[in-house]
Amino acid sequence: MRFLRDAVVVTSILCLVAGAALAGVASHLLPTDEVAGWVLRETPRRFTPDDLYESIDGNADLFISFGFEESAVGDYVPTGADEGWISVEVYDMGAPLHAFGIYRVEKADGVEAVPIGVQGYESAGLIAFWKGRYYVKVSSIEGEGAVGAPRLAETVAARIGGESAMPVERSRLPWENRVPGSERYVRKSALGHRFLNEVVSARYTLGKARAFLYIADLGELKKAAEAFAKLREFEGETGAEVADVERAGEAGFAVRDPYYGEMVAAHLAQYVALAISDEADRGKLADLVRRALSRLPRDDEKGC
Amino acid sequence: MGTSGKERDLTRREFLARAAAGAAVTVGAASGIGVSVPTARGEEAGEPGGMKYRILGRTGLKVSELGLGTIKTENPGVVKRAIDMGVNYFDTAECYRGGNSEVKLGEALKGAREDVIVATKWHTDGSTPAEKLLASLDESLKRLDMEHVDLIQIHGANKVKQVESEELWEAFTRARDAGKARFNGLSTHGNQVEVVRAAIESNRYDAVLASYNATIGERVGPVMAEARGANVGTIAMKVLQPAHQGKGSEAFQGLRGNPYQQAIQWVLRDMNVSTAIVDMPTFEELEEGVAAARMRPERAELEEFERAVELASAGSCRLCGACTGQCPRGVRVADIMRYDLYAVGYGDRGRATELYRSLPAGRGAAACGSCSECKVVCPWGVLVRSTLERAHALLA
Repeated sequence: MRFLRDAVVVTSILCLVAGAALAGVASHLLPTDEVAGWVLRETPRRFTPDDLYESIDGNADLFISFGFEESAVGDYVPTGADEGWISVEVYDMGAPLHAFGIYRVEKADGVEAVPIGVQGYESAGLIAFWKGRYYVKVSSIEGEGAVGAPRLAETVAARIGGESAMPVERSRLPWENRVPGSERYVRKSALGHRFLNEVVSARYTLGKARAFLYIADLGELKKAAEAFAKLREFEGETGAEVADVERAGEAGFAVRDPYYGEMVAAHLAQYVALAISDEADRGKLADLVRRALSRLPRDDEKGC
Repeated sequence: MGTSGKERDLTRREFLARAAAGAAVTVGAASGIGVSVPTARGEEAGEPGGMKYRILGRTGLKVSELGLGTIKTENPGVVKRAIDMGVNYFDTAECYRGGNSEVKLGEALKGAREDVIVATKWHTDGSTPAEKLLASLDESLKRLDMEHVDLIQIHGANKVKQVESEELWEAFTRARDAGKARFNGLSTHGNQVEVVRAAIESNRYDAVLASYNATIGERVGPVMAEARGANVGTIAMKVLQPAHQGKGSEAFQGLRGNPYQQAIQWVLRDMNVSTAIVDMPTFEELEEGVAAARMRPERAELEEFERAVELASAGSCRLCGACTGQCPRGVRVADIMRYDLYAVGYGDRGRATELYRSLPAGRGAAACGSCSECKVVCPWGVLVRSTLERAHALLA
């Protein structure tokens, strides 16, 4: 009998491993061994951009817009018990910056970051973190997964290789006056503009005023110049007076935007930088933009 | 929302000028006096060329024909611009962006709360205790920084059991009595027809939010009419799906207009729909969407769009899920139809094969061999048996 039971266990594990292998890379990160008394119930489900909506419904478009490639979802149950459930979702976002981006979209500003993976957060019944190109969410019914959920999250984090480092793109944002933890990445259509893509942003405190800085990397000077021109044209069409700003990159302008307040924008090399605030004055915003442009790595300087 | 190739190079000003000119011509041609024509129900009202409004069933709320979905829309500028353009219906949910959709929407609506209608959602499997649902609503209100929402809806109801839950009804009643939600409704993606009918028959729902577009209009349209007849507000979502699906197809090449705009207009031509919600995260998409809602295209133009959609999806599975659970032998028909679409429609045979081979034993189309006649009926006329056989031959 014992032989039979062991054979069943071994076969089950082999099936799970084989299933995981079929199901894609993200599945390999789901532990198949028992973790703190919790075991994988069945072969993880795999989702791709075409059927992600079956897993997360309306949020699918959002994940896809951040570069989602595939996900694996595993349900864990307590060993030898009928009740209890922990779900582990591993999202392969294609690149660390994308994983960071979707993590920041889902982490509310006031929620404290916790040290898991590169960074994570916890809320009722949920532990979420990002590391490498992966964004991971561990959900449980409150109370039931009190021990298992953190251990599963730590185990998945440990299985993701590579360093626990914030995206290098964050360093484009000047550190002075930057509000810690306010950094974001927007892959497409920052501030509602189709032409402002690949953007890192952060909140700043300028004196007592709150301001936001956005830096778009358009990949080449021509595209940055086009995006800048479109932005200027858009602002002009609102009827607001657009004024030139000197000593700000190749060209700069300032405007009172009807929706975002004071705005200063400029472009240099492949970048467009803009600062907005409904509290700070133009002078301070222009200084922030100048500081940002002065420290950006430029493709045309590589190898010099 | 997207833009057709010929629109892509237009500047915003050119596009708007062209859209406005188009609206003037078509509206003028339809009514003869250059203003929108009220329906027999007197529901359509609005300034010439401006946003039009309809009544959301028994709620009596006057909602803009085009509403804003906020899964991807987080820029306060876009939300404020939408209000300026006449949009007054905003849809969010407790889980969109991990709750941040509600936070951002609440921030963007500061100072405009009295002028807009806000709908959010809560999750229930039908047995979720009322206390838990009410706690979910409290969290939503906190994130929105509002004292009440106008509509609280079940999120993604796909079973009649969810619709008829007494716990849910208790939660709806208590939320309304506490002044936290003025009206109640549901959203549905799967099993839509049965779910909406159950909502109508229960006589407890003020509004329903369902997927409705030119691809599945024949199936969902009648139940939207039934809801409207019962004075239940009707909200359409997944409105742009036909344009997304058909954009690369030959059938769409000859279309005169922008298919994304036509997809919106196709839904709004149905006066049984109170409002159509579309996620429009950029100013450009918002302007395209609002321009589409303002226009009243000629019937022939929408018929041309309908034919293109039909051609683009002819004989192919629309992933409506109606075949789920129909096979008496337990063949996973809906899954296999989807894998077949991956292989034949999208040309991704590798992934389709991988998925097909990971089906549990006995759930593949090999089991079809023991049936003389396929019992599965597709509402769209897809030849299920031969599609399953093809999938098996390709993917097994």
